[in-house]
Amino acid sequence: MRQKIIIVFLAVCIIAGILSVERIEKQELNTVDLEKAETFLNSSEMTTKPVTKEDGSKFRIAYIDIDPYPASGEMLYYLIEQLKETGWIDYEGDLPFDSKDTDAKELINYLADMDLGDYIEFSREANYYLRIDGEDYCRESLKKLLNKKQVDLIICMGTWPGTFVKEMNVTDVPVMIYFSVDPIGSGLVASVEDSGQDNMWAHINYTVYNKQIRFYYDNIHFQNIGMVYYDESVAAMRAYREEAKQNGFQITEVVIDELVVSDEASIEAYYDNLKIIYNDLVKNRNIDAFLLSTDIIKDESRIEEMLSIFYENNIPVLVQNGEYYVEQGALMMVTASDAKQQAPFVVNTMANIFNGKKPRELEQEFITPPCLSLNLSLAEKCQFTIEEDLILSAEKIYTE
Amino acid sequence: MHIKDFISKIVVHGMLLFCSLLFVSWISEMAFDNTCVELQEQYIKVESEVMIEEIETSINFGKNIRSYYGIEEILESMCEIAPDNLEVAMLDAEGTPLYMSYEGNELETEYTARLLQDSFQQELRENREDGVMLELGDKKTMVFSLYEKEAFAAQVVLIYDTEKLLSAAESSEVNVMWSVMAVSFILLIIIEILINKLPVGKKGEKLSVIIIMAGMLVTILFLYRNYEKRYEELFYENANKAADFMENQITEIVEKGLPIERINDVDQYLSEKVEDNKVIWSMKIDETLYDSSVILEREDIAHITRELERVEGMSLELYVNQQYINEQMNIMALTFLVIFIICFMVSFELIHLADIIQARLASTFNQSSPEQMDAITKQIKLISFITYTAIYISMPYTAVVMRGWKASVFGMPVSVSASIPLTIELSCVMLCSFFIPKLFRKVSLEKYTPFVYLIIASANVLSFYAQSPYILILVRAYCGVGFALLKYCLNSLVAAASEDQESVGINFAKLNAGLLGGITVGASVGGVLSSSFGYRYNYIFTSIIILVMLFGVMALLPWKYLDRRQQDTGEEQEERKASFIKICLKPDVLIAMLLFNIPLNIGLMYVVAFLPTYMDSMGHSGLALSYAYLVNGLVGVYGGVFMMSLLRFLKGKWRVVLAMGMAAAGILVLTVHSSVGIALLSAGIMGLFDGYGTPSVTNYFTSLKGVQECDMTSRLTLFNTVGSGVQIICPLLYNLVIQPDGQTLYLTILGGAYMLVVVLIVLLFREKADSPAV
Repeated sequence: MRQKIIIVFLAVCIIAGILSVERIEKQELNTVDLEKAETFLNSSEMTTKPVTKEDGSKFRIAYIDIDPYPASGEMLYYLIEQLKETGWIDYEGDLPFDSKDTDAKELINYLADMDLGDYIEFSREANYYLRIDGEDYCRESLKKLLNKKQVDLIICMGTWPGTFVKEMNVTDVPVMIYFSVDPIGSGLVASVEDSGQDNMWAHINYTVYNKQIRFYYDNIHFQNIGMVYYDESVAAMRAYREEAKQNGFQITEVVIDELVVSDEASIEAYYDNLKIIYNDLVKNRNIDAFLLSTDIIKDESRIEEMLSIFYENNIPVLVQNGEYYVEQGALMMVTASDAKQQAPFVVNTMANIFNGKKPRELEQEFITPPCLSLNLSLAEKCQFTIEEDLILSAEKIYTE
Repeated sequence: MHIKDFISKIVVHGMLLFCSLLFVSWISEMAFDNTCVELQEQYIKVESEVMIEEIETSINFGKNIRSYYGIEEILESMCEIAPDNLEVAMLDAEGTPLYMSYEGNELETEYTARLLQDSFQQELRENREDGVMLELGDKKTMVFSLYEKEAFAAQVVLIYDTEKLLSAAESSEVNVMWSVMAVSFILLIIIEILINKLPVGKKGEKLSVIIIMAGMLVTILFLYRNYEKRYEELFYENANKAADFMENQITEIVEKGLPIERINDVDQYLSEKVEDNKVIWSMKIDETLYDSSVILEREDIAHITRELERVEGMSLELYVNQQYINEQMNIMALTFLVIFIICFMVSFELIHLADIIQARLASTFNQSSPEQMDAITKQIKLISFITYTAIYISMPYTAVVMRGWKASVFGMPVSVSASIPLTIELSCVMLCSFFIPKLFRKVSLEKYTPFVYLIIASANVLSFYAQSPYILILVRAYCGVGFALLKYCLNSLVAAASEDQESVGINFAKLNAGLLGGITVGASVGGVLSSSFGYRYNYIFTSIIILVMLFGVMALLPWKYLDRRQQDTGEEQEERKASFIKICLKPDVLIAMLLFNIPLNIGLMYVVAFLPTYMDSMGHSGLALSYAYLVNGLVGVYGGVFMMSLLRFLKGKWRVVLAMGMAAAGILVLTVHSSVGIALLSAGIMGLFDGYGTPSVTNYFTSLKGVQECDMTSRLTLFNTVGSGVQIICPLLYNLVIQPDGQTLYLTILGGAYMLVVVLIVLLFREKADSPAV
């Protein structure tokens, strides 16, 4: 009898063990797991929700650019869209501008005339083109606005606007320098980790130029690439030279004067000089590829004419910045800066500043994801074979 | 026939038939589901790999994984591979979620919590191969790793529900159940009528077996036809999904700006994608000016056409790879054939239950009568068959569980550690076998049998709950103790149920046949179960079968008769209680062990330790290995017993000689060629060696003069114990025999060694005497 009781007891224990299997295996989430997940999800949400100034008024942004330039206009266009996306500003429908051909000053003026909601406003007064308005006027105007405390943040689009504000010794209003090729090389900020000044922040994207030239070299296999520029830092020469040294190709450099005035005669003289230099590079300097540097051909209508000098000699033209050059006749471009992809990073930085963080505390480096544009017709024209991988990697292909 | 016997037989046969058909339906449905899930998972893997490669290319191209522009679209495309059943998360190198396709929906918190669980994070760290499958709560995941210039950068986790993967191959379980019921009912009536008309005896019994088997065959054919159709539909569905995928790829390229007329510029890429999608044979893009199938509304499943939305007038045409589908269908047919044969074996063995129940209900129960003896013999085979089936459902998968944990124990590499629990278990069997006879000699079989089964059942439940390698080793050691007790218990049963030396041979042959059948069925069923429920659940199935077995054993065995027999043999035991060690040291026993035990057990381990590695090294498929197992098992179980009765005229020594000769032939035949056919032939011969050789050698060994100093149970236990010791070293031995370059020198040496054993037995052992001539 005792033996039977033991057997039954053991059997019951085993059956209980078998029946518990389902419960054990279901692995219900406990509260600790769920809390951990909640904490994680909350922390990864935007901690930079839209806010007003302490007195409940809106933040006023000053905008400084050089002159109408599609590349900088595009940067501003997507910045504004991202501000809307994140709830900092609000307007109905889409902006009545073409993202690829936006006049930045016009866009700011358009926004200044609108009610953008509770958090941010732009002003027609705090909206400058340095080359057109002149440095002196801009300095005086900005100083006046700063003194009246009518500016809460300054956006400098490019190296020159950045240098301009830095020289003004603005220290009490946050300054964001965007679309500057080499803010460290040009002395705007101290390093990637530290801007060197509490109110100063610059978007750093410099290594992207190393990657860009390396990509061109890997795919075009040139030995001597020509480059014409007016400013070393704008042309990112530091990065290109580093890569040239490392990969063993040659850069034939020509430094020209910057086009600073906008009268017809000066412009004509500028482009005539450029033609001579281009012809010289092709005929006498034995280049086998050419890199079109930033801010060299500003007039869209002249692109084809200028680049034909290279194509007549089967020399591929690569682009440093500006996809429209590819559309207009360059062979390819790997984006060094992408307005759409950079905008969330810049807006997030701005939101942090408005939420009370010092610009100096914020991360400056954001490497733009590369985006390849190709012109297949041009490739055919200069008898250049484009590999299948390159076509597949391209984000945009032009054939006409 | 007595009316009571008649009704009981009808009821038992009816129940058996019903259960058999239910079993075949259940196991087939499960196997089919596994096959479908595998197919769908393969498809998900191939399609997602394409997108993951794109992400990897972009990362290496310079994109930052933490600020990956356009990832939402990629995740969305991945989810479209299995719409409504696939969510994707990308985790960084530290396992923190970066992007989630389910962001903002109700699953967000649950999935995030599960992804962040320490156990899952640990598994992610340990599994960085592509396409690794991990459990995530009640969902399954497929994990891919991303590398940035060879440095581990991120992991993409695809989360899906396997149940939902089967929705395509819509289950028809209800239909199967109804058909099973109908077939059972019709056959039951046929049996009733036929048996009632036929005279009682063998003919009637055989007829009922034939009818039950015929019922099985009908159900199997019905099931197979059903599966075949559903499986084929699944392929065409995947072909259509692949067409969607290709259409998307082409649309994307066109949207980038590449004119469709220049699509040949990316011909290599598109061809690669077609090649990756095995279900697609070819693809072309052209302008369709006329298509009769539109007018005639004729369905053409082998040809898929898609209008390219972005390119007016152009269409994408894909041709389904019929050859691939046929190949896959054949593989499924062959896989199912294995399962059906297994089901046949199970049903065939279970049919004897009818006779056993009859004997239990008969008035001669517990009495020494031919019917009772016949029933016990059948019981021995059935007990052995079911018990070993249960044990082998889980035993071979302990190593897989260990490998799953990537466990390293006692500082040994993972691959070696995986085999430790089994080694420990077998060592415990061997060690305990030395002491058990002494401890249990005087205990009634009826008293300790339930404990043996309870130990095995509890050990397997504990194995399920074991969460660390050391605990599992400990539990498997405990299981080894149970296994040793089981062997002693079964040997005692054979000894108690055998009234003379000849019946010892017959009963031992039955015990061995049950063991062989159990191994064959257990390993196969275990494979199907583990695919459906996970390896650890196999322990639970083992426990359940063992508990059911315990109930059956206690209810059906004639314990009073066995007790009486045990008391009789107990007197013999008192007379012959010489110690194992003393017996082992006798020269004639030593020689017998050297010439009988060692070669026999090396041969017995052929299927476990040699066949898988050999087949793999010769490049044969897993399916071929399954067939080798099956041939070995079938020939061993049925061929061995048949040969025993066929060659009854052979004397003890010559039976052993024949068995060893078979082993030599089984090994040496592999030196002729390395084809699958030869491997199957070898597996068959070795199966026969197992089925015929084991009882022959055992019988001859137990009849040797030197070992007669101990009782029959101890003789059998001694034989098994030494065998267990030999079996432990067999994996090592066979690894040495298989030469990586396909050479057969060591195989020839092994075969030659068996030939030498044959010669030595002929020379050293006198024909009629019980001891070697030396």
